[in-house]
Amino acid sequence: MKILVAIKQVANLDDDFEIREDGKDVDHDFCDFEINEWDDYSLETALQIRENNGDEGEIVVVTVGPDDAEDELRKCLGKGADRAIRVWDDAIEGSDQVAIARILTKVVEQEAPDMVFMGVQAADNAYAQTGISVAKQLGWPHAAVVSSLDYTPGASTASARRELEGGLEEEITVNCPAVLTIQLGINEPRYASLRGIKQAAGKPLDEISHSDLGLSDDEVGEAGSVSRVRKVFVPEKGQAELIEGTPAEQAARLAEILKELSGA
Amino acid sequence: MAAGLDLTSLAEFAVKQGDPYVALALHPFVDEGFQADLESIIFASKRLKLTFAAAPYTPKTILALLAQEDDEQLRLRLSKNPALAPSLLAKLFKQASPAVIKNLAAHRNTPCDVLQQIDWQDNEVIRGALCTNSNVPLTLLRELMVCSNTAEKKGIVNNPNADHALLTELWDDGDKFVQGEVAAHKACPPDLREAALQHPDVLVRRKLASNESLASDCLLLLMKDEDALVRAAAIGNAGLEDDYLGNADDPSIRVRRTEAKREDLSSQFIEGLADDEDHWVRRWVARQPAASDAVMQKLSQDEVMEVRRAVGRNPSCPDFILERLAQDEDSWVRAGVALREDLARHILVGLEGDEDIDVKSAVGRNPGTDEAVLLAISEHENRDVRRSVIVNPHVPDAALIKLQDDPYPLNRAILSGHPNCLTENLWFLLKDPEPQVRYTAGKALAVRCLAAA
Repeated sequence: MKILVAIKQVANLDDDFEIREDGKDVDHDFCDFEINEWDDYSLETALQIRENNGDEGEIVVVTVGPDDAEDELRKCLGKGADRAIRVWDDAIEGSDQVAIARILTKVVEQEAPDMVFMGVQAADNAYAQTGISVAKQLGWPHAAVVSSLDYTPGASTASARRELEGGLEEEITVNCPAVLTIQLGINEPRYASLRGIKQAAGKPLDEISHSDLGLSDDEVGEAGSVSRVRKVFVPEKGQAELIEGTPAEQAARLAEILKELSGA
Repeated sequence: MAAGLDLTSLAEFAVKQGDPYVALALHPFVDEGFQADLESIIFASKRLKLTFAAAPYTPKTILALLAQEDDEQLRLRLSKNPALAPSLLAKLFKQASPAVIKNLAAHRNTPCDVLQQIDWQDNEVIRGALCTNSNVPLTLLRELMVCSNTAEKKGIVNNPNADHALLTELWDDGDKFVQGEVAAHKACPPDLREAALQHPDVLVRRKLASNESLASDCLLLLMKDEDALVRAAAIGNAGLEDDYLGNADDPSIRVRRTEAKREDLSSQFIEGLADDEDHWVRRWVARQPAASDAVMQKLSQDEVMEVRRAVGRNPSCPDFILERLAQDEDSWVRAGVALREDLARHILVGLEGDEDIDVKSAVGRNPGTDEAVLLAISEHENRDVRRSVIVNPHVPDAALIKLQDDPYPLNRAILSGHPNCLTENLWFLLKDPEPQVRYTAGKALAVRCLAAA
């Protein structure tokens, strides 16, 4: 059994942050970086499946990210993942979710896992598309927003419960191998023990480039993307006014505001 | 790794390790030579400077260095840092941007003379911040009053520096909310107290009743108010002496609950409240140290679990009642008993085998618990149960050594900051993955090194 878990290092903004000079992202001096919260749950799902399978099988974590992202992979290894892969080179900079999915697809093809787990979305840019895009490019079945999973390694299907709008849930059976995007709350992610963190330093962490995966320069970065960030900005704040006074005074002020807004 | 209490060894370790959080913790304790080495670690990146400029735990020595830098982003963060000293806030004012000035106007440490130099005429945000800043002198409050709006007046009325004249002006111009705050102000003039006492609005009378500088005769009048909230506020007033309490028969639950919370109730008054229909009243009564054995006996059999637990937490509760509560059907009641540091040995022994996690945690905290039991609890599967042992004054060293490797970061953070923590633990925790743990361990070690020197 092999489960591939894709993770992302995401940015947490300071209260006072600045936009980068090119206007397309927040200056990283004003961010803290950590593993995407959803990905903690994906990894825990994989670890629990292996534990319930008599600790048999391999869990591989993968990320597309720069040098700093190695910290998050090490934390995953500290929790019990067996191996890690980090894909990065200068040409990958500027990749959108489709280009990232293309890279991850190639990793999945190389690794040939029985299952791929990813978070429902990334906490920083919240596209919620990468997992589904990987499934599409692989031609694999997929299930999004999985809140409960019943999967036995080696089985040809898995049963999952998905969260829908309006508080509804849906129970589905999905053929394996499949790509599942995991929702928060599906389990209680563990903490890495200090012993685990120390042992993680000795576990294999491969660093590869897009060309190692057989991808051309045109398939990654801005050239391989279908969307581009034009501008990141803080929208103007709306106005609020506490209307005070007697009911008659309040009504008069409210009428005044309505007239102002309607241009009367 | 060194395991002793030598500051030089510790500083050498920090320089070699290159960890900014350990370096930050040691900086105020080491000599100038080491300080320079540590500063190169602490200020290694812009990100670190921004983080430490905003952090309230950053030592004053580092904040002073950051305040010397010509960097607007650093100034912005420093001006919001609640630990920044008045002298550094004054320094920031000399080259402050509008954003920094807004922060200085609101900062509780900004010196009075700096606040007086701030230009507030055309800026509502700055004006609002100054109105509520307790360092603003009366002269400036008067100037602010002249052009303040309703919201700003509400800020001024809460300012402890407002005097009689200003409060009178606020009362005359203000709505019932402003008048209520005037009535609650410790400097509220006698004539306004009298006006508040007769005020038709309940809010104003209730705020007056909460004023701790109110004379007993005024409180006695408010205790007879027709509105229950006003009576409750008067009875809850710390200035009211227990002699003035009447009978425990007020028709309002709110009033009786407030009475039951008072710490100075006579045993007679407690008797009156012990049969109350409201379980919150009985709950508070059950905690009264002056409650008689008979009252505690009755409440220890109450149908409401929280009332029984409150009896178990009462410092005057006799052993014969605690013995029964230690076998209560509800684990929260048993846990309340197990928390008692004065618990008789035979009762505690009976609770040591209880498997409920609340009881287990309480036994883990109890100084009377046997060392072997504490050692077993330090290996419990529940992380919150394990944590209880850390704060036990009789925790065995072997348990602390186990807990330094606890996978739950909060447990290691508590350990690193607790007096029980061994010097050996602290050296180990200097390499913890959590920055907070490394910082706390570094600071604790430095303090111990100084004390040992």
